[in-house]
This record gives sequence, structure tokens and C-alpha cells, in this order.
Amino acid sequence: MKKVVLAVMVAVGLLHGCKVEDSFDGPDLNDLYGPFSIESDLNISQDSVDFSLGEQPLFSAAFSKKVNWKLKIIGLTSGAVKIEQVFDSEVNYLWNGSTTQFPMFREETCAVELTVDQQPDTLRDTIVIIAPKVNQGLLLSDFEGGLNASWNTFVQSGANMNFGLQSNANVPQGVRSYTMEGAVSWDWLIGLIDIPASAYGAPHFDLNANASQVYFNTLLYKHPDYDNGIVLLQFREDDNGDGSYTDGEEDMFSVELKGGSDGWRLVSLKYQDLATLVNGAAASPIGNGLHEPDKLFQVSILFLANPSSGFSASGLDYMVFTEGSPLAP
Amino acid sequence: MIIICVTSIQGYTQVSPPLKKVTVVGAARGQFFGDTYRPTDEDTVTAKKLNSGNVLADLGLKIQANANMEILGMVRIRNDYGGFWGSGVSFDVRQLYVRGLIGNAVRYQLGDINYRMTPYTLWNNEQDLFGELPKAFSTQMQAINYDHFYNSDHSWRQQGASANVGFLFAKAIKEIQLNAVSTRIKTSDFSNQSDRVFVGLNAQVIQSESLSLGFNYADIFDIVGTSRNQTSMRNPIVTSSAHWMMDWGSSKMDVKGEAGLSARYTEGVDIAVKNGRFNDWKALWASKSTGLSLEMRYHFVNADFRSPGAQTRRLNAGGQLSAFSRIGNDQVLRPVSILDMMRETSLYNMQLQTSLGQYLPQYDNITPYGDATPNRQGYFIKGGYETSKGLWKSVVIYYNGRETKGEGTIEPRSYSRVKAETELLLNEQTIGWKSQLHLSAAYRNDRTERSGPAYLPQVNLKNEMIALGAEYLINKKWEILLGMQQVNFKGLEMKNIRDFNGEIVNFSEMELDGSEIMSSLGLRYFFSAQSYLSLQRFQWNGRNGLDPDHEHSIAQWMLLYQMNF
Repeated sequence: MKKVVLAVMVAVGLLHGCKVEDSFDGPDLNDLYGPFSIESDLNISQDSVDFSLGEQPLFSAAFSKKVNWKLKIIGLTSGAVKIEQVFDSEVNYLWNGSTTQFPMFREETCAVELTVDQQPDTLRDTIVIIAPKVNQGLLLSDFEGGLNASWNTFVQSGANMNFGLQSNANVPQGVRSYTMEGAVSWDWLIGLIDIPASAYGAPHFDLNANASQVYFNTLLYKHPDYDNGIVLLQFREDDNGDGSYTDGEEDMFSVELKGGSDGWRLVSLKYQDLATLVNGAAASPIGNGLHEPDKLFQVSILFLANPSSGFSASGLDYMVFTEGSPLAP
Repeated sequence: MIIICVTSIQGYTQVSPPLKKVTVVGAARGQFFGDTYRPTDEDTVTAKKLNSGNVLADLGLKIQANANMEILGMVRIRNDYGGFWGSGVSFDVRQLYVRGLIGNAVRYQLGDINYRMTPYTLWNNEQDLFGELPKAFSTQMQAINYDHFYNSDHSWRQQGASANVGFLFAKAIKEIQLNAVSTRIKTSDFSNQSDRVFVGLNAQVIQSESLSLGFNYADIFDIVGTSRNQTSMRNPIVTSSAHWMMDWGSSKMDVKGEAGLSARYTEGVDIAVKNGRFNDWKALWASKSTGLSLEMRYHFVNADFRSPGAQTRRLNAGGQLSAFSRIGNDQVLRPVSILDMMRETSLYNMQLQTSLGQYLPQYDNITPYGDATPNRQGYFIKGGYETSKGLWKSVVIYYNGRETKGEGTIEPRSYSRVKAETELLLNEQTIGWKSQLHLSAAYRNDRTERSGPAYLPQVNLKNEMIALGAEYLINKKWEILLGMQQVNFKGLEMKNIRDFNGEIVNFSEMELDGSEIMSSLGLRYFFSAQSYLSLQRFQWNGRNGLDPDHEHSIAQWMLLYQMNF
């Protein structure tokens, strides 16, 4: 009996191992040391693309080993740039028309460049955008059709005031954006825009009730010469549902935007993360303290600067609420 | 009929019957080192001579509180030379434990515990090259082992509690021993690190004198709630073992083995579980009449097998040296050498580590984590011969193995080792000689190879170790010690770089071309069996074919007084 038990245990033990696994641990040495060659040239699945119809061109190529490749798509009219960087032996990239560096793509021809780290060659091609990407969400304004007549604006009578639509090559989306510039020596406020829900035909904005699913997105411009501007966003809720906002009784969530890198940038704010501010400092909620996007009554955009800091400048474009995720322009 | 009895477990010293109510135990040691650094090239920055030394006393009181309880408290008083009158004096608690019997059935110990289980669950593997070290070098190495509680039974010094109990049976099974231990290996910092504990359980079923079976469970885990960190590292290991032995005539057969599984994961974090497995079987045949023996062993330890209790290294290869830590006019870090491994106490580790520690491929690239080294499979053949009175003893070992899983390629590394050891003992017992002369020689040749396409770096590391020793004991009082150890290494190894989770994220080419020779001549005087005074001269020479500018040698005088009481 003892011998049988022992023989079984030894046999199980010997049959337990003996093999070398088909896979391996760590990065592939071939990727680190193997010779590089292009196995398959850059190919784009279509010459032209209509992103508004949901089309997505496939960019493909193949290499002899995993490499850091970089695909760069440059809008020849807008100057928009889309960059995709991956460590892989294959390029299989589906482009949905999004951009990495503003502005956004337009109807234009794009140059395509595929480069590989530490390799001298660049693979090139072109693709034509018939219609740019359409972003999902509740668009407040992209300023292309002018200022919404139901918005309320106020601009101080300061020096060198310039509030309004502007059209130039620097616009991040379309051809127009909203400029806010000026110097007010007696007040922090330089100008403001009130965007009531009624401007969109309802007492409240048509948004999801779940605050963690709602994002407010805007493209914001920081002038390279002026660092003193503050953009204050205010979100007023109609907590009691009476179709109006009562100061001091209902919630107003705010966020201050200042600093940042020069030029245009995307600001995306999760509604759930908005706080109650009093003079820029966090404070107790004014109303019921609940983040209720479906009760949002009005969005206000205030452009502020320290009165003693002189001239200040900023800009806005493409304000949109999205659900589920931030805007991916 | 079952009888509950007290048993001794592996690594657990039996409580001796009390002779006295209070006993003083301990040791004293005084040592002085005079080092001389000799660079090959000009070095006007590094101080060439270094003197250091200390005297210490371990003073312990063993108190037999009652028939069933023993308490040991030991303090260490240490003073560096030149540090009398207060500075350089340290006063530490070295050992503290309470142990005894509950109801004459359960043996327990609280406090400091020396504990071991099996080579795959909790086992303190010897440091690199320790097994082949001539006796001339062991005087310093033994001091390090004593200071770090590295015992010959491979136990780890831990702090916690243990208990064991045994049951005797009248039929079928002779005895069942149950052992349990729990120790804390890391304390909470109340922020990111929770309390980390080791738990070990062992059941030993002794069927008869010839067959026993073992079941082992070891686990290391973080206790959630002891810090703000809500994740918990877990590393359970389950093994079973069998041991069968039989004598017939003048021959003896001994078969033993262990197989098991491990899992490594972190609760609360989305990281893949590492599922490890191993098995290790060996069969020994020995002839008492001829002195011949033959052992065959097969082992398989897959790449994901993790057992911190068995894979923690004594030697921390990345440790900081205290003597001549920087050399050359550019003050580069001096690499660890066999001289440092023999004497640098700061290189040695006392706590279980949950990640695989760094090792030095030039000294051992095959079994850096002992038997439980992951990603190894192969067989050993060991042949031995010993004369009846121990006059001559020789062993030859051959190992052929390979990885279970490639690293960076599916092609596994292959390993081979040839090792030969021989000893000659001339004394009263063997040849009727009043004095004693012990001669020993060891040779080890290791190879690591991996073939592959020509554009990949070719792994082809060759290590060689030669050791010679001679000890001449005159009138059991005076002993002349002679020793030499040489290590040669040449070739390329692709050292893996692991991230925090133990995953290989990169490789670094490690090219080696060098050799080290360490020799010693000394004289030792035994005052008694428990105390001696030793004066030794050591000489270490290193050759570095890849960095000849920093080649150097180190000479050392050592005066050591050792006494145990």
C-alpha cells in the first residue's frame, strides 16, 4: 500500500511539469533587438470621408517588430492636427474625425504622416474630409450663426472693450468664436453672458438627471500676453421647480477658470464636481445642495479680472453639454 | 485510542528540563579589522587604510518561571572601538520570548521565534557560495550568521506566536503533529502600508517509522483596516509532502518529495493573479557497507511560483557597503565582492521580502532563491563516497535544467552545474594521530546559455568557483587556518527588471568578465571548546576585464575573540 501511494505521488509529480510554456514573460526581445522593416505600407481604407455619416477611415500598416509609431493627420486648411501614438507592430487605427491639437477639422484635405521612432523614413498619404465630425450633446452655441437673441449680455464701459463675435484663422471650431476683452478699473467684472434655458424653448435645460453623467464643455482661449483673466461659470438651478431662480434660496454651482496654457484648450467639467463658491472660496450650498442638471435654469459666463491688473483678454467657442463622457472634439 | 502528546517541530528547540530557576546565557565577541585598499590605477581620493572594530556582549537571562513556562530576555551591549564613554555604544534587546506548555499538551512560544517549515513554504536559504566556503573564512561568516539569527536549520527569526500539539494513535497511524505560527513581518505606517503578517500551518502524519506525509499552508497578507490603504496583498501557498525510507541489509533507501500551488494577488486592485506550482522529488540510495551513495532529484518550479518565506534572500545584492564604499578618483560605487559577502553585516537581510530580491548572477545564476527559485526545472544527480571512519569524503553533483518559461522569447535558458567536493580528515579517530589535519577542496562550474537569432544578445554566462582549505589543529589548542577561494565569471546575461508587481518590464544586458581570489592565513587558539582567539590575514584581489581602471585589491588583518556561555 505504501509503495502504491508513493508511486502515484511520484508519477503525479513527474507529469506535473517537464514542459516549457509557449508564451514568455517580459517584453519581446525581438522588439528590442530585432531588425526593423516595413512589412506593409501605409494604407487608408478610403480617399475621402464623411464623418457626419459616421464613416471612419482605417489607417493600416505593418512592421517587422513592435515599434513606437506615430500617425499624424494635418488639416491643410484649418491646421488641425490629430496624433495617434502606439507601441505595436501593426497600425490599425480607425479615425472618427477627432482632433488632438485645436482647431477642429473642417471640410478640407488632410496630409497623413506615419513615422517610427529611430527610423528615418516617413510614410505619407492624403485624405479628404467631405464633412467634419458631429459631436453629440446639447450645443449651447458654436457661434457660427451669431449670438443667440435670447441670451442676455452685459459689458462694462471700460477701456478698449471688445465683446462679440470674431472670425479669424485662429478659431478652434468653424470660423467664428466669442471674444471677451477690455480693462475695467473700478470692478472685477468686465462683462458677462447669461444663457437661460428658455433660450432653448424650455424652463430647464434638457439634461440627464444624473449629475455624474453630465459634462459641461467649452473651448477657452488664454491670450499669451495676459494672465490676469478669470472666467467664472455659474450654474443656477430651479430647485423648487417654480420656473424661476430665487437668489439666496436655490443652488448656484460655480467654477473659476484661470491660468492654463496659452491658446485654445478644452475645458470639460463633470456636473457632479461643481461646487458652491462665495467670492471664489468653497461654501455651503445655497439651496438643497443636490446637483440636479435636469433643473438647470441658467448658465452664466462672467469674465473677470483684478481692477488693478489692467487689460485682460479671453475667448469662448463651442459650448456644449455632453452625457456619459467629456467632449472628444 | 488517541493520546495527546507534545512534540517537537522542525526548527523548534525542545525545552530542556530546568536545572536552575535562573540561568545566564549569552556570548561575547571582540573583533578588530585593519583594512588596506590598493588600487591598480592612481587613486588620490580614497583613503587607503581603514581600521574598525567593536566589542559586544549578549547577556541573556533564562528564567524558569514554573515547570511549564520559560522566559528568555537577552540584551546586546555593543561598543565600537574608540567609542567608549558613551559615544558609539548601543544597547539593544536581542531576544525576548516566553514559551511553555498549556495543559501538558500544547506547546507555545510568544515573542522571538526561530521557525522553518519546508523549502517551498518557509526556509532560510544559505547565502551565495556559503556552502563551499573554507573554514578559514567561516570565522567572520559565522559572526554574521549569529548576528542575523541564520541558523543551520534554515529557520527565519520572526516575531509572533507559535503552537504545536501531537496526537498518538494505537492503530494505522502512529502520530499526527499539528503546528501553527503567525508572525508580523511589516508594521503599519497608518498611511499606505497595512500590517503584513505571515501565517503558517503544518500537519505531519507519521504513519510509521518509514512513511510520513505532510500538509502545509503558508500565507502572507495585509490586514485591511490597519492603514488607509484598502488593498491587501495575498500570497497563499499550499503544499503536500511525502517521505518514505527503508533499510534493507546494509543499504538505505530514502524518497521524499513536495508538490504544491501558490497564488499571488492583491485584493482591491485589478491585477492578474499569479498562479504558481511546483514539485520536487528526490530518491537517495546509500550503502553503509561501501560508503557509496547515489541521489537523483527532479524539480519543477514554474515562473509564477511565489513564496516569500522560501524565496527571501539573505544577501541584499543592492546593499550599501560600509568599507571603501566608493573608490577611484571618480568615486564610483565599489561592487559587492566575495570579501564583502564574508564580512559586511549591512548586506544581510532579516525580514521576509514579498518581492524577488536582487541577486548577483556572477556568484549563482541557477539557484539564487534556493530550491524555490522560480522558473526552473531539471534534474540533479549526486554521487557520494565516504569511508567508514570519515577519513575521506567526496561528493559529485551534476545538474541539468532549464527555464519553465522564456523571458523575452519562448526559447528558455538552459542551465548546467558540475560540482565536486572532497575532504580528508586525519585525526585520532581516522588514523590514530593526536593532532588533526583537515583538507578540503571544492570546484563548481555553472553555465547559463540561451540560443536565439544572431541579432539577439546571446546569453552565455560561465561561472567557476574553486575553494581550497586546510586546518591543522595541534594539541586541541592551536589551529593553523589556510584558505583560498577563487571565483571566475565571464559572459553575458540578460538581467530582468521587474515592476512593483513583480512583472518583467524590461531587460538589461549584463556583461561580465572578471575574477576574484580571496586567500587567508591565520592562527587560532582555543581557550576552551566555547572560546577562542583568532588572528587572521585576508587578501582579496579582483580582476575586472570590463573596467580595468577600477581594479583593486584589499588586504585585511582581523583579530577575533569569541566566547559562548
